[in-house]
Amino acid sequence: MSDTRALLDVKGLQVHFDTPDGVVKAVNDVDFEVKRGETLAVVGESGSGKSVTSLAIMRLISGRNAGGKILFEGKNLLDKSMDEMRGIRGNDISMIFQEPMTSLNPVYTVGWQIIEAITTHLDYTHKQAYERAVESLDLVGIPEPRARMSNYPHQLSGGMRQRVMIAMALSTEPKLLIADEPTTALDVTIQAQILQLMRRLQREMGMSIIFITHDLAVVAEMAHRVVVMYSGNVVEEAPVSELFKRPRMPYTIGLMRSMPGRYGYKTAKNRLEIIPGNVPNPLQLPSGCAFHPRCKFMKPGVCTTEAPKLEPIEDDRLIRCFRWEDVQEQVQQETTRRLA
Amino acid sequence: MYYLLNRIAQGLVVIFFALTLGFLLVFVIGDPVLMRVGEDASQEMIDRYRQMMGLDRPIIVQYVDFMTRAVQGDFGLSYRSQQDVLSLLLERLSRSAELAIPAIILALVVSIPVGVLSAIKRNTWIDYVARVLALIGQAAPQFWVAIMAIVIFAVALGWMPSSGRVTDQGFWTYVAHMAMPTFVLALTPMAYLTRMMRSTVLEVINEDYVRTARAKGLAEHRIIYYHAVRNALVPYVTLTALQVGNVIAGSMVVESVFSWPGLGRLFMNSIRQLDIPVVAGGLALVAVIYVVLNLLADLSYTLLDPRVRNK
Repeated sequence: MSDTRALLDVKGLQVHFDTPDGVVKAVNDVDFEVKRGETLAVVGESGSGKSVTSLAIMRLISGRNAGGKILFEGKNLLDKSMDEMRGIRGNDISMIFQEPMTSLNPVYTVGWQIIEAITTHLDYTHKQAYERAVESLDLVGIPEPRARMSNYPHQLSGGMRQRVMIAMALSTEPKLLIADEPTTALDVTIQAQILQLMRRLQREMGMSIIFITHDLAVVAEMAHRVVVMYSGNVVEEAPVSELFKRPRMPYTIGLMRSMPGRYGYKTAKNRLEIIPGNVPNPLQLPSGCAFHPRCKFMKPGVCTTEAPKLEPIEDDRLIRCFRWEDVQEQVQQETTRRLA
Repeated sequence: MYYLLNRIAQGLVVIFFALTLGFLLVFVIGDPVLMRVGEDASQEMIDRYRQMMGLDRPIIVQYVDFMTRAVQGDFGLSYRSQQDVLSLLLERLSRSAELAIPAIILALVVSIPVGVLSAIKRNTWIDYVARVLALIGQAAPQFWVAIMAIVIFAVALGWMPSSGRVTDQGFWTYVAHMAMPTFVLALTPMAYLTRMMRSTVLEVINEDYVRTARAKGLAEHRIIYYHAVRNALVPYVTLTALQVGNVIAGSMVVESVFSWPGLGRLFMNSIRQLDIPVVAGGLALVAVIYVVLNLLADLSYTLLDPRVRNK
């Protein structure tokens, strides 16, 4: 039996914040699915709404859910009571965060904090929960897990603390792990270890992962599929290899061309390109396509007036752009010219 | 360990300065000899008393003598009652403690739940009421509150006795007499501590680890008590130790208004009567209490915060 239905299906999600200056539309129209056993990367700049989206899935956000659905195993999380949500958080859906240094409570031992997560959701005695916690520390590759149980967070390094966070998140065997930039605060070698660990754990435990990041190199390492977000919208969705080979949406193309290294897009004279301008102010979003003021393929009268919809263009690919075909042609011409 | 020794050394310095200040009082307040013999005494009489009281010796000799005896707890005899200063102070201290300890407990018992409630019900009417009351409690001078309490509850309504410490008419009469001074004494620290608890909980509640606790699916009360309040206790306990100083200061006023025969009233009277040995001894005693309490607060820090413990 294979369950082809998505584990998580986010449809038309909108999250708004009421501020004294007006309504901030942090998440404007977000659609994506996460299949079982799959890693979905959500990529975007700061302010693109990726973290808000992840917190909205957990219902941990103080903003207003202005619309849409978040279907988890077919049931809308937005309809759940706070009590029901508590039974899901940390149990079916776990989350780890960007700040390993501050995400653990400094006054309790790491063992205490993992046991707390376990006994909240599973009907375990303290002794069973203790053993389970030791196992999860072992699972995330922490040496001498039994001794570490009585350590306080400040006695561990950042990488170790993130491992503890992962152990805590996985101690209840969730079906979905949301990782909000889990390696951004770590240095490169530790980052590589944590990514490798997460890949291994996914293989072994078969859970789905939403991996939120702004780092395209991490995306290439981790993801099966990628969702690119810009200004509260999903602008492109594609399998990871497709996205890196043939980015379609002008914003994604810009991101690729601004990235050095082996995943980067080779441009003429090996110069990195930049995307001019800044992320739009969420209080005053541009008319039409939110990306048009920064887009070099922008066509006045088209992109400036109407907002494009997220549309399928090939198998497994979605794009939010009126002009993707023209863009594709132009990019091809540029490449041919460069190679000639 | 080094930390603790360091704090003890600092405390000793504070006590040393308090003693020195007590000694110097003799030269600031006025001539204690004249106080004893009266303005119109003969020069011969004055000289004799000065010699008797040891005030004719060089200052440095007096200072060394004072300090040597002080560290042994000997502050001499009260000018007024001719009682041994230390035993007099200790006796009065225990009377003060009868008010101060219940006052501190009352302040804690009220400020923790009210502060927490005020923080988690932020910007609701509960929060507004708690904040306004705390602000009033912090701003109202204790002598005024004490007098108003007497005017309202003792004079106008007749519910409470107005003053004094009565021990020979049963337990409840005693309690009735101590209730108002205790409450007035508790008011200022209660207000400070409530505000402290509120602001610390508000701070802590935005910490990443509280978000982690939420993401773990914990119940709200567990998040508040195990993750927010537990962490907020660290600065709160320090402030509590400092507020004991406030209670000691307040007891001067409150005990005077309510005629409670404690250390504060003794201190006030001794200052008025230039009973310098008592004032100097009292100063030293208060300094010691203060230092010890701060030391206890530091020790509680190491209990409450593992990051300090392992340094």
